[in-house]
Amino acid sequence: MAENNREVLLKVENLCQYFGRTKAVDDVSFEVYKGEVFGLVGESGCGKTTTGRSIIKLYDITSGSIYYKGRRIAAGTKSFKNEIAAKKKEIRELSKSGSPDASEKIAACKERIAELSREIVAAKADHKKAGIVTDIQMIFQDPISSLDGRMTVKEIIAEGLVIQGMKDKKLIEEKVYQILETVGLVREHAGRYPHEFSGGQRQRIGIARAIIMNPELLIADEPISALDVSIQAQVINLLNELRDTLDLTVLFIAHDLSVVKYFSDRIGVMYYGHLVELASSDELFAHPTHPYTKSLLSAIPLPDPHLEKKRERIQYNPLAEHDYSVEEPTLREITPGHFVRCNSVEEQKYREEMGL
Amino acid sequence: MAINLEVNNLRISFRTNNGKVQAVRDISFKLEQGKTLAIVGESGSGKSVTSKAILGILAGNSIIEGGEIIFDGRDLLKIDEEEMYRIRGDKIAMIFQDPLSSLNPIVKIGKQITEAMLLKNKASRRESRKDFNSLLALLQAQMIADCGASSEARIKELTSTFNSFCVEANKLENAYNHAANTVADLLTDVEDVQFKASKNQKLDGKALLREYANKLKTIKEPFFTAKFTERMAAVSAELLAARKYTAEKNALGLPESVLNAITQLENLLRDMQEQPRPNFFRIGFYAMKHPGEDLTGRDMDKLNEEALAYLNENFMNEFIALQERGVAYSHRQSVDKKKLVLEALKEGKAYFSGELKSAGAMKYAKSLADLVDASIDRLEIVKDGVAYTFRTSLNSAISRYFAAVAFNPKEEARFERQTKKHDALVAKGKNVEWKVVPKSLHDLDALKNQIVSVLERLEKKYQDDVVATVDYHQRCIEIIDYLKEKASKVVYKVTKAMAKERAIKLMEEVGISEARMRFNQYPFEFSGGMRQRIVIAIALSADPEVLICDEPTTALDVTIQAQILELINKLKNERNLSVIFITHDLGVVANMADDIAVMYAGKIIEYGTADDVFYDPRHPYTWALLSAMPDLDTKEKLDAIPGTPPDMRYPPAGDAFALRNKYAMQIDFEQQPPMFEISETHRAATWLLHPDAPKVEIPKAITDRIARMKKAGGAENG
Repeated sequence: MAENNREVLLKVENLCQYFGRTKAVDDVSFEVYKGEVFGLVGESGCGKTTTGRSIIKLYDITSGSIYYKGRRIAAGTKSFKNEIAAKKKEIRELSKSGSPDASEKIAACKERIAELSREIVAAKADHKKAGIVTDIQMIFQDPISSLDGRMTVKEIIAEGLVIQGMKDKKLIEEKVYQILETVGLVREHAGRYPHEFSGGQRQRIGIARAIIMNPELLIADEPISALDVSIQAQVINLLNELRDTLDLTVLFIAHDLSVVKYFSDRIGVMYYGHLVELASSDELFAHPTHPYTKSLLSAIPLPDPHLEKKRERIQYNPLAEHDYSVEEPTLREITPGHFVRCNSVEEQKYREEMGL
Repeated sequence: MAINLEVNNLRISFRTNNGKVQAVRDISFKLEQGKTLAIVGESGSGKSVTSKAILGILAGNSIIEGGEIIFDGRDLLKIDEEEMYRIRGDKIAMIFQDPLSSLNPIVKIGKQITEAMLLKNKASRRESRKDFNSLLALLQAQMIADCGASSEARIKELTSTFNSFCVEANKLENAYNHAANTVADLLTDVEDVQFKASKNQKLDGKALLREYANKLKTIKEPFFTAKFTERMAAVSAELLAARKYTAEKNALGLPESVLNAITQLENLLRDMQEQPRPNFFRIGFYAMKHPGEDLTGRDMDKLNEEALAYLNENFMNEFIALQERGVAYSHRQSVDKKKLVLEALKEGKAYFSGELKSAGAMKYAKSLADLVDASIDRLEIVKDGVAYTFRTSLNSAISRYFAAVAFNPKEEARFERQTKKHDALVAKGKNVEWKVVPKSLHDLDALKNQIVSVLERLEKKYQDDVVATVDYHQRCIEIIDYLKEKASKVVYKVTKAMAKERAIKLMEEVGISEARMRFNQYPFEFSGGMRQRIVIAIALSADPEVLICDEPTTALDVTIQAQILELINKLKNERNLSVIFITHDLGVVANMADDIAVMYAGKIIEYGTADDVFYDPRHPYTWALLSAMPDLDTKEKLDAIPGTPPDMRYPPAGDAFALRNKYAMQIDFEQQPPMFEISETHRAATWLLHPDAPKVEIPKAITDRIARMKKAGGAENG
């Protein structure tokens, strides 16, 4: 497929994000190509927001790496540190026990520690080299709580520029006005406070704040979930226009499948911290393969009473669907560009279902 | 179809620091028994305000400007808090948008679900006792009035007999039902275990057997167990004997011997369940007359028949004959009075059409309403809404008229004052930012006509009533059924243990697995979808007649949303609930709504069945709502609705949607469109439906979609 030749803008590799024992994101890998909209769907609590936040380093990731334009911008060192602590403890115990092969084991442990330390140093160096990545910006779900109520719209939008060291007030003002007009607001709005705006307008302010930094990658975390239907369409249209005019790449996180289908080029489906299926949006809706995707698609409400009354929702029960006692599942490519999380038995079954 | 809830000309405003916000402006709809009405509109359109008004929980700064909400023969806007307290949660329940904020975080969910059952049971027993007594007393009075003083003693004896055996019978029935429920529960438990064992799941056989044996012992109701005493003892012994087996650690499934014992238990339970049911209403009388006779072991079918013959011979025939005379007497009296009322109504129509003075009109209305009250036949079980609400309807119509009489001159003065000020500022050459709020005067003639129409409605009803023939025998049966039902409620006492069992059943009904374990958990231990299920279980725990769902799925994601919608739909069908479903997303209601009301800026702008609204939408706002959301086949640019809803402090003079409407005509800015009837079920308020309006094409996105839906085989009739 042509996608192989396209420039990879963002690459997420074996991303794991554990909060204590909770594995919010577990071994997720995907690539986002330049200029596309990549949709991430799944039910609440499946880790899609965590993935988005890990990319812009709102969380320190547990393990895995994130590459932006080929540079590593985040690497999980927490797991290394934990391992080092464990090895050190082992060494202490070994030296106390005084068994004959202790010294040998201690040497092995020390070597491992040195190796891990080098990894950590390398990761830190990568961070430094990457600098502050202003190319990635995020739009948040709730337009009310993500805007500071004590700042005027101008201050909110200009904050990023000021932090980046821009001092010329006139230039900042000019840029803010220009951005306001881009997102469909007017100059007069700059002096007002967020509470004076409606929900849709507030979300526009959130978008303005993100795009004033001229990002290449925009992470939109459920930007329309908190909005009324009539306003949702305005925001989607705006994002669509911006995508064309500013040449943006978008990581679009949402749970409304109709919108994701409409807006995205490729879609990744997440379930309980795992990426279970990844395909182009037409392919995903035409040939949903993973049982969870099927269940998700069957739940979409349609504006058609007759069809709706006939619709039957497919239940997904992971315990009944999969037997992973023999072989653990991995993300496998079933057809070019269409990945499904399965083991080899299931892979065979899915291929047969697709008539291959 | 019976109308359950009726909203007429409701108008609600809110007082705020910046002026009065008109949230609901003159809406009317009817909710039929067992149907779902969806109210769709964006935030601020007044849909939640409407539902809160129905439940009587409007904020303190609200002003109810007019209208009525009729439920069960009462106007909910006029009754006091004491009466509302009995309706709220009990007859009308509500599910709120955010499940976390409607649960108490520091009370276990089990307690939250059972709370309403226990409270309601206490109140319902008291109420039912009152209803039972008052109707029986009324019946007795009418019978005596017709038959004369000579038979007074006999009538009193009969009613007191009826009273005592009704209660007696219900006590027996209650105990029987309790035993039957225990058996049914045990049976589902057993089936569940057998299924698990067949799937080789890990089970603790010894604990199970002990539990079953203990449960079997608790079933003691003699009517229920009489024929099974020996078998029950045998099975119980077998269950206990089967416990003596040695199992390996971590063994899966259950050994053969245990399964055999459980199958024995299952057979016993099934047989118990299938035995013929005694009719306690009949047997109660027989048992009362033959104290000491043991009826429990008898053949139930035979006993039922014998008891019926006995009841009819010794009591019912005489009672019903007398009762018929009482009912006929009451009806005759009522018809005579209704004729008087008809005369008075004729006079009243002339009076209210003429010049009105506030005090005089109120006094006149009171005397008229008193007459109507006296004319109601109280032995009618089915209350007719027109006569029962006559007083409140008339009063509210009159007070609305006089409020308008007082308001109009003030409004004129304000308009003049503001125009003057505005003109003066403009003349000075200043840049005036504010606009003059347009005049909103009340149409006094229309309001007067409304008063007269209240009278006319009653007149029409009474004209029919006066000539109608009534089947007195049928009415007697209805009365006896009503009394039976009330009596059964009097003896139905819910204990904490019963409430717990019911709560667990309810939790299972709404799809919470392992309900018994989760009964003792706190709300924060549940996920969003589960919490919403608990809220639904709580709403259902009091067996409401009307369920209001205020955006129950907005905070949830697609799969959970689908589950909750299916659940509400299922419960609606099972319990014959009437549902008001409030949402901003037209997409989610296609599945469940029978009727849809689209609201915009406090008005219903389109009303019709789901098919009408989805396949043949007429209002530009409905078009916009439908085309604003992508479906799975949408590729082209979305038709977003430009702008935002109008500021309801200054409601526009014309169609509120005109400013955002690309089809708006000049008249849309000047005058409010009336409701145009499109078909019997479908109406919309847009000037586009006026015969003189230019033809307008429906947006392509919608015609395309409807065509697609037809192709998909969805809209065969659409």
